[in-house]
Amino acid sequence: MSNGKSLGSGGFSPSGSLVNVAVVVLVVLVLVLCAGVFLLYNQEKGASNDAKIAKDSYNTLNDSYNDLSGKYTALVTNNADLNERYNVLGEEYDNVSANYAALKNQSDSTTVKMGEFLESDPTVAYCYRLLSDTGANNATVLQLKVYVYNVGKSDINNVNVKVTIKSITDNSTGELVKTIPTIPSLGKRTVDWELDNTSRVQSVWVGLG
Amino acid sequence: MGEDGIDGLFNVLWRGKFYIVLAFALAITVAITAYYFLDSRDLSSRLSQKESDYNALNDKYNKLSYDHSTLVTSNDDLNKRYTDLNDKYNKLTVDNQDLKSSYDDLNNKVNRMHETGGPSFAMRYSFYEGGPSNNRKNYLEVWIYNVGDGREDRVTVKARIVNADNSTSISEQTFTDVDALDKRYLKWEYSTAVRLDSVWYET
Repeated sequence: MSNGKSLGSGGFSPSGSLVNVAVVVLVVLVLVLCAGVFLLYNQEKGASNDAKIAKDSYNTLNDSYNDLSGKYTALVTNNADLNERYNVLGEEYDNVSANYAALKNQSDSTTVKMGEFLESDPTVAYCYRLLSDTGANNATVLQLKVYVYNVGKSDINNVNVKVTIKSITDNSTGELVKTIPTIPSLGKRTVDWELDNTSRVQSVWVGLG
Repeated sequence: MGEDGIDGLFNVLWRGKFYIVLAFALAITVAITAYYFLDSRDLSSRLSQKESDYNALNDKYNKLSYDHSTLVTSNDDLNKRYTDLNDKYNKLTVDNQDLKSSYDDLNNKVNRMHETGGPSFAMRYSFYEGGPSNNRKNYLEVWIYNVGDGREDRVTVKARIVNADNSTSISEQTFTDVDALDKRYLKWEYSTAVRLDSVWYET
């Protein structure tokens, strides 16, 4: 007869001890898991942050890449265009250069030839022609043409052309004179007279006045 | 008996409520842990992929940047060469025009004087006495110019001389291959007794 609790139910029993141990282990396990969850949560939060930073960096780099790619493409086009224009200009330059060389060669050749041909001092050379022609009243007339050339390097003034003629009727002689005011270097002038058919040209003389 | 059974079950559960809560908490924490663990692995994998993409893009960017820099340098160089060539071309064009202008001027002058239709000659001469006082001579110098636009194969200069006894003699000299704008020169020597009658040329 007893009104208290029995020792068997209120005291230590091996089975009750195992339960307690299991409970403690489970509590510890729950705590450890909670700590693990906390750590994983923090880790994931950090990782998400890193992911966002990485995404931003990637996007920034991608924008830079696209910008640079656009510039590069434009530069490639510009470079190709410039290269083509350079080649065209090079060909034109070569053409002009070849023309210039040929022209220079011709010009030098002509200049040398002219330098050798022209006299340093004022000089005239001449030739003349006697042409028979029909004048008024069907009379035969002689036309004397004197061609005067300035073969000097400078212009000359007052060139006298003198012609001595002789009449075949009375053997008298006469002199015809004309003055050319000016002849430029490499210039030519023509002087002419009409003579009747009784006159003969004895001499033609051209000289500086 | 039925009601007693249900009450008994409740009693049992009530007595074991702490274990149930504990088991439930354990299950939830395991689930959350698993969720975070798996998510963390997934995130890590995505981050790794993103980093790999970034590195690949960065490599492309660096290569493009290098190509761009190289092309900028090449373009600058080409631009400079183009500018230099353009300057040279402009200068050469001006020089060419100047040369052409002066060459045309010279040609026009020559053409104005040139007789057309082949070779044509003009002549000048000088007859004078000269030499030392104990050996005086008469000299005849003749210059003949081809003022035509063609070459003459053969031209002969002749001079008629009147001798002291009033007889005449003819001096002559032939030149060959006289080009346009070419000239020839000759000089004859006579005694002081002779006179010059005339000088002419024949082709």
